[in-house]
Amino acid sequence: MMKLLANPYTLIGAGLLFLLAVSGSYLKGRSDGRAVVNAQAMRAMKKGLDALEVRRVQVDHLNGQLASAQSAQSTETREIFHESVKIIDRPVYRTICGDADAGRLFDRARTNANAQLAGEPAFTPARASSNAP
Amino acid sequence: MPRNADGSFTGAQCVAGALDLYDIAGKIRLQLLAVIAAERAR
Repeated sequence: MMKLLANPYTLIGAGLLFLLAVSGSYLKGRSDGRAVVNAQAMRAMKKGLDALEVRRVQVDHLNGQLASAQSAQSTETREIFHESVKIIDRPVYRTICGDADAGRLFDRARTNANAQLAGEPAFTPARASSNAP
Repeated sequence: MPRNADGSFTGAQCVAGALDLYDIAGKIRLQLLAVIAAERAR
């Protein structure tokens, strides 16, 4: 046994084996650590994506409800305007019911309704209805 | 509000203007409700 330990080749071989074992352990540990970090990142990403998906579904649902309500409102508006065309043909609606003073008040009210916030750029809304009589 | 050249307006123009205003108000209301709902979801 002592003879074997005194052999330099045996010592070098043992040293090489030791270095190999340490290197192997280091590489294995590093690989395991990377897998753990990757798994954590994947879990965090999946959680974020799930939350995004929930919000997307909510927004889609809201958009659907809005489109449905707008469509119903638009249909009813068209019917109301269509009906009004028949009604305002009656003689009673041909008489003057307001003069220029009232018209000026309307203009002031419109200007007032379109008041801008300080520092905000002027907003010019497109005409909301193109089916007015 | 539609009106005549002299600034006056007939009953027909008054009805048309009022209906137009309700139409615009309704559209703005829907947009506001959608914005509020989106804000709540956020």
